Amino acid sequence: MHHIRERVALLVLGLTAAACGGAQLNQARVAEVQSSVVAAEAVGANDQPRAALHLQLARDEMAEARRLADDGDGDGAALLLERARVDAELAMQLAKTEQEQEKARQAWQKIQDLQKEQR
Amino acid sequence: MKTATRLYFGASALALASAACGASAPTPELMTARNVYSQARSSEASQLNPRGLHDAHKALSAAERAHADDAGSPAERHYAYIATRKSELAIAQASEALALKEQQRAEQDYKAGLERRSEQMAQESSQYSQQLTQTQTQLQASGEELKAREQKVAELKAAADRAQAQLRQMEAIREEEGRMIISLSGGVLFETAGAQLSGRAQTQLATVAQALAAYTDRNIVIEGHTDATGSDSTNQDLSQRRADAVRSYLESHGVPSERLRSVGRGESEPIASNENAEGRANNRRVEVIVEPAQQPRTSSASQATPDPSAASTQAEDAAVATPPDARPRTSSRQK
Repeated sequence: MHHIRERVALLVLGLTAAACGGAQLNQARVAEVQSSVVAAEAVGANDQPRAALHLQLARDEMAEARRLADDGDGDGAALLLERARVDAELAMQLAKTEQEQEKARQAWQKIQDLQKEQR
Repeated sequence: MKTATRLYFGASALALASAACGASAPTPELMTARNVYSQARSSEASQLNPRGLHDAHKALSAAERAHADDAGSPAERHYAYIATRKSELAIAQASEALALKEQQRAEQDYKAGLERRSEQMAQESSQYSQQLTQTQTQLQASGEELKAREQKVAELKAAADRAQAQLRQMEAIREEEGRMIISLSGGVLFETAGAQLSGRAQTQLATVAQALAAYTDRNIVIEGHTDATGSDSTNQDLSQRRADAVRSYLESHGVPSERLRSVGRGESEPIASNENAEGRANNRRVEVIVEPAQQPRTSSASQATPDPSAASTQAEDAAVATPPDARPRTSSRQK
């Protein structure tokens, strides 16, 4: 958890420095997106195809948002940042859902194994 | 509450759709957003994740407004994109909630299954324990029965040994060619010239019957003998009746009838001289012969009268075996 905070802080600093020459990005939003990306990675989003797709979209949109901000297009950057946020959030949720569904499958498998033992 | 929520979302969707009718065609992004929102509404999200569905609805409303304001604009595309993701998020959150519920239900079922199994095993364990106790009790009973039988056998053997010892003390027992011969004095067993057992005979024969009980696999021949006093036919008849009397006594005292055979030898096999009183007294006797072990006789043979030819052969044998001074007979001697 501490490691994640450090990464987010570094990212914020980097974005702030980059923003010096162009439009300003909403740093709270940037931090929020980055947190969601890290959290999605932590729950295994890279291992689940649909979650991995949205995680990649989030990364690309973040990069595009930075580029637009650098080019002085603050509004466009803000829109892309919002897209990145929902994609990262969806990636994390998809990975979590997959995890819980797998746990449910294992729980039912345990019951089936128990029933086999009883026969 | 859930029905009200559905009605609210449904009415809103219709309003948004009708508002869109008057304007230009929606962008593909908006079409997708509407479609995915519709899926979310008909999924378990309507029951398990109304809040997420509400967020998706708000996002779709923003997209619809952007479309109404400026159809095909970047704002419409942007908000439609957001709305699509929000709907997908609502579905995924509902799926997670459903998976958690299933886990909970599975855990409860698993716990109940374990409890049932535990009860079943306890029941089986109790049954096995009862069976074990029963088997142990049966084994103990069998052991005690075996001990009792062993004790009975030992008692019988001791009794037979005692009886044999008594017979030996009487010096009335001898062995010839594997046969055990118990010789009983006719003077002790019977009244003169009769075949009725005397009181003393009962005591003596009781000892013999006890001893014979030990020979359950042997055939027994009872031979009656007389001295040479009187006619051959009278002596033959008397010896047969005396052998029969002894046989009946032994039968009635536990010696199996199928192993008994009685034979009258008459005066044909003297063991001493018939010329004096002592010799004739020795010749008047009943011999109980325990034969070597063989198959039991059938009942039809048990009381067979000796074959005349065999009798004559035996008489000849006796004549050969008996010394010349033992053969003369006297007409006035007792039987």
